[in-house]
Amino acid sequence: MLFRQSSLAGAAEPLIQQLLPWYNAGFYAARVLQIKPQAGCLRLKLKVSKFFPLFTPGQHLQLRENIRGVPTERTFSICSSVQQLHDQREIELAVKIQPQGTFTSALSGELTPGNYVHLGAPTGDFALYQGRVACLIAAGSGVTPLFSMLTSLSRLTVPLLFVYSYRGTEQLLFAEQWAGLQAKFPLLKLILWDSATRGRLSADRIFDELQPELSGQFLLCGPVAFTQDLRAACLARGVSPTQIAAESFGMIQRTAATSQPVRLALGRQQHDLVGQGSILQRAEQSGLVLRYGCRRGVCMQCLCDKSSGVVRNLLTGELSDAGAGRIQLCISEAVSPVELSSEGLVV
Amino acid sequence: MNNLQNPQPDGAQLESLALELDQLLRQEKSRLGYADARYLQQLMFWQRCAALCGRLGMLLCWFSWWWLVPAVLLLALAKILDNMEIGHNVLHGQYDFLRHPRLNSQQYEWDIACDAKSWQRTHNFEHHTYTNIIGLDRDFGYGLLRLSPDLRWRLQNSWQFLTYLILSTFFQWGIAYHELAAQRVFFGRKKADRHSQVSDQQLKSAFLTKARRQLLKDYLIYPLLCWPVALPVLVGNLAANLLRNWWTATVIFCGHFTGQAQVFQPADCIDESRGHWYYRQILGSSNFTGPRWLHILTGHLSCQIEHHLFPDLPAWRYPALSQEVQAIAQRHGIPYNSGSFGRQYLSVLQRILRYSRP
Repeated sequence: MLFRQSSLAGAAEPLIQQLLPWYNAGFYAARVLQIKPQAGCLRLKLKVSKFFPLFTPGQHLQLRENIRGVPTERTFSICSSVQQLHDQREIELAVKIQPQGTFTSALSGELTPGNYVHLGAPTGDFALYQGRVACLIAAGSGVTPLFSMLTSLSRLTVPLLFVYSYRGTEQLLFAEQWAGLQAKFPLLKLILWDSATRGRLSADRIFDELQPELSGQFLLCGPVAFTQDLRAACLARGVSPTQIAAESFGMIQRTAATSQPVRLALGRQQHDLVGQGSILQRAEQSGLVLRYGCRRGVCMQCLCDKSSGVVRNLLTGELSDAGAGRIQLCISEAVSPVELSSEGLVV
Repeated sequence: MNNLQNPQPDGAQLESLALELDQLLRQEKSRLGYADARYLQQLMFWQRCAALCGRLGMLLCWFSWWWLVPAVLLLALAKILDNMEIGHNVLHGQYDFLRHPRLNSQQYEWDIACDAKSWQRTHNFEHHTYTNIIGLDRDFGYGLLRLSPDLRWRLQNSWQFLTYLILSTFFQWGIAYHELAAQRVFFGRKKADRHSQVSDQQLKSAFLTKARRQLLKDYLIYPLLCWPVALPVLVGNLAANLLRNWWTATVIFCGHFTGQAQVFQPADCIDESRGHWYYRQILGSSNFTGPRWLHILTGHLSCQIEHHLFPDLPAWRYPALSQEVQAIAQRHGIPYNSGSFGRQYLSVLQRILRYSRP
């Protein structure tokens, strides 16, 4: 009532920021302790305050960094253990460097130890049930959440199969820690699969050569095609869908095709837009009646939240960021699959 | 038909105008970044300082009522910064690219009686799309003043100078009630050609909620919080609101109602090209010159022409752009209406008086 802001912290933010420039209401500030490249990733060690919540191993969070002054966010899995957060207030992330990605390339250029980044709260339900036989299979940088699960274990009472496929020793993440983990957990069957020498790790080879326990839990993390194949293979061998949890990742590809899939969530309803042209036109061609004003990019009445995807500004030709942002539907054209959501756009 | 002799550029000239202005917009958009984030952060800091010092200063009236003078000036400054340089510009989406969780066009709510969403519909959409088109831009004279011979003279226009003074005094309420008046929510007969995407009930509820909130905040909660000095706080809040009202009304009147600001007919703008839209924005708006602090206090509406050409560009960039815009306008033979604050305001007063007679 007195401040017109939803929180006192938000109202006081401009004053607090003069004293503590890294303060950002709604985010957790984290100081960069170490930043080093390893296996095509940037490994970030961050110091967080005591207010940062404990996470469940396997969860991810949003990393927010100013790219040319503009706050930009990407989601990454935590790769360090819960104990490290509890004891030292440190968390670690391994950020895959994408040569064409604006975020990761700027991150490697702009961040140095002592800088601050901002973190969202950890979220996600990708988790290992302790005390159950499990098989964890990762490819590439998909190893990060599984590594957090493994290092967070205090002891292992049931067999655990951990398979990590990577291409060439220079792409092996956490190289210095694997031997120690194997020594710590006698029940751990650790398979570091170098696909450069042993060939591609296919679903058949996993089941034929490594023989995972089919009654256990399957946790899969890697590129989309990898997790989809493995999931299908698990199901084909009689593993129940409830035993399988998978997370996948992949860069959003920009293409020249004119009609990219656009999914618009209005409240609880999801709509897949058909047709061509600006997203507003496509929504109307799909039978939706949305709020709009000038239809020329001036009045911001058709502003909508984009959770992912690249759009082209039809006025300036500018391409948007691939992550979350706000766009004007009347002057935006999808150039990659786009996910949108809005509460207030329905007339 | 326009009330002044307009240059009438042909299609090719309008296309070339659109090309040059679009190029300028692209160039400026590519520069957005650190500087804008820094500017907004600094601005917010000084606004909060002014508000805090103003509110705390009123407590000093316990010792002497003379403290009320600086306190009111500081609180008025905070409200002016909040409404003009922060609120107006943030609600235009100028800083949306910064993805700030609160300082964005969807979430920001300002310290003024007008509900932000209602203002966005009437101002961002109607006024910015149909600038100075008779009958379509309801901001032209606010339905109360006759500022062009294209509008029929009515008896109440005889005393429209007095109406103007009253409107300025209650400006925040005028703005708050603007959309409701047009939709005849409380009084009057509905017009058949008025369509709205928002129901009367929604309009009513948003208006009453915001009005109640503002009234309670300034005239009940703050005075009660400062109980022994409740009266000076109440008077101080009233005075700060009044100063803000006069200032904002004055600045806004200088934007489109100066002697040379031109008007258009709906027929001129059917199937309008982007070039013609730009052309109309230049002719319908007017700038005034002054030092940097004056630009900031006006929310950079002193550069009304640049604002109307590029409403979603951070406003602090307008003064630097104005020379280029002026040069482009000159190359296309379009008059660029600018002058000192005093001269432009005088021409507004003259225009109000001139059209108060048939």
